[in-house]
Amino acid sequence: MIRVTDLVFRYPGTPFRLDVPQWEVAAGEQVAIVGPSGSGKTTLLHLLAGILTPQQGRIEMDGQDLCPLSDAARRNFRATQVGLVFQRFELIDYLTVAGNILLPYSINLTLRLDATVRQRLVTLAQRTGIEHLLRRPVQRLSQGEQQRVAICRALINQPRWILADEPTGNLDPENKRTIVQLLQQQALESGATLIMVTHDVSSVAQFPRQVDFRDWCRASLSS
Amino acid sequence: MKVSALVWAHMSYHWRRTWVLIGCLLVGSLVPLVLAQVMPEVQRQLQHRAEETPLVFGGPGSSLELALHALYFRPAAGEPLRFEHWQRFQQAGHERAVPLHIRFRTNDFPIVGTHLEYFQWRGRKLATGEAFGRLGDCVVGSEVARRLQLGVGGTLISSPRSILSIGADYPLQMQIVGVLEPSGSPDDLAVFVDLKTTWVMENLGHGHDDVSQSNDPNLVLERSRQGTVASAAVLPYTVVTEENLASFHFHGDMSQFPLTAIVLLDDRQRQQDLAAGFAQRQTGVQAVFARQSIADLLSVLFQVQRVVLAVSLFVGLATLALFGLVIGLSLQIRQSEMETMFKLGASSGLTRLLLWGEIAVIAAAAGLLATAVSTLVAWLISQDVSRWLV
Repeated sequence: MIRVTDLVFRYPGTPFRLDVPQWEVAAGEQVAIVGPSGSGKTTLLHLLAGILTPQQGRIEMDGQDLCPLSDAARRNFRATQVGLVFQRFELIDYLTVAGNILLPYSINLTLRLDATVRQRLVTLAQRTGIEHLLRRPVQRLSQGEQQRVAICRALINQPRWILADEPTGNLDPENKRTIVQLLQQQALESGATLIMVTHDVSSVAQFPRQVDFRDWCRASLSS
Repeated sequence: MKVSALVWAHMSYHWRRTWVLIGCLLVGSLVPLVLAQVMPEVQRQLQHRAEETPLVFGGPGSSLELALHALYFRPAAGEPLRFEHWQRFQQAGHERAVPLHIRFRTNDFPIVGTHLEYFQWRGRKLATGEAFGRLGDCVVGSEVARRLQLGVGGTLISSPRSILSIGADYPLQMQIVGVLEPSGSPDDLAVFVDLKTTWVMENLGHGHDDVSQSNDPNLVLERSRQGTVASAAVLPYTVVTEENLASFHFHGDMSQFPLTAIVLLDDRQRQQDLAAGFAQRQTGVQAVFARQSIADLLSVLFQVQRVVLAVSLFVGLATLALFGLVIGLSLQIRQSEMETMFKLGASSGLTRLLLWGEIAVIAAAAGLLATAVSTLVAWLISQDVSRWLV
């Protein structure tokens, strides 16, 4: 489970302040966080992923507090236990679909690429309907296909937590539904906890738990 | 896929940019590398030829041009000597002084009129055939034979010095009687004939039909007790054969016939000093120590090399600045890619490794290519510096 306690985060030199007094997400839960652009949703995801560290408070992921961990430990935690999906997909343009999905294994030494992982790649690609695109450069894909590649990349390391940052932001309504369903289905099948942040209320109807970002955390201009 | 594969994937995807960068570094480093490899070989070959030909004599004019003429058969620029000058060297006991008359070319190779002693004192041997023994015979250097695909029994035709002087010089067909062994010297690129053959080319001698018994008024201008004056309608032979050999004759005093240089092929210092002293006492003769002339030439070449290297340094610095700029811009463009990798669990060290790895591969590729190309160019040049001078 995820437990956030008395979290305070500020970007140095800016008036931005994220304040989360108390928040919990159960293991395997699927949560949609809705809030306006610029409210700090992405910052919260980055804190949960260990990309950012708060000035105060605790972030416990299955009982382990991320805050005192070293940079390397947080990096390894991110690489091995977190799956990140980004709004603009953030695929590497010079790699093929397969290269992008396996990217975590190229950039982190704690992950070992073996036959099992390669089989998982094929399975994921089949489930997301992109198995015929594995050797294609990602730039030749449609936006919907690119987001599927990004989802496969987030799932390839069998993460315990899937953190999706506006994954439907650049998609048409049809693709939005498909991608959200895909994320939920993949999270369900792998038993991962899914947290999706979005400013688009229409895309969160399928989530059993929806949180208004402003209800339980305070991102404010301290001035 | 690990870091090296990512580096390779990025370079392959942006292959135009990669090759431009490799090309920039290659061009920037090529000139200094070629010079560094070629110059010592040029120096070695020039000095070797100069040591083989220690002393050169010629008419007044540039000493360097005289040395290059006698050593590399380049066109003569100074005033000619006369045959009597060589005769005086012989009379003074300098038997290793060899006359040269080099004014004509065939298929762009110089025709060297000389005596057979030239081969003896230079230590040249025949690969096939025999030395020239008759007017119109020639012995060709190994490279001449190879490039023209000619051998003993073949023929060559001399080129007139100028199309405007076609009336004065007429082409002479030469019979190849021998091919020299390769020597790695300018002799490989020359056609050797007897001195008199070049004088025939010079139109100082010729052969033609016997008109003394002819009554054709078109052929005979005047007949008197002194002899017969032939008209211009009598054409000289352009080839020497057994049948017409006897008709060849020279007009005038042979001792006044031209030589373009005399070389002393004697490595004994005392003989060189004596010959130089003897030459100084002759009117219209200058003696040139080839080693000194070549040293002067090399000193000029080294100065040019220093200038070229200085320019190359600036070009290299500009290239490096450009390279740095391109890498810097690339870094900016790849910032989001690096951030993505960081978010996915890459260390900042790995992202730096990706960049430096790419720089290293480009630099290594440029270095390897530059080494290979410069070695090839240097090898081609140093195969025979003579080819660039003859």
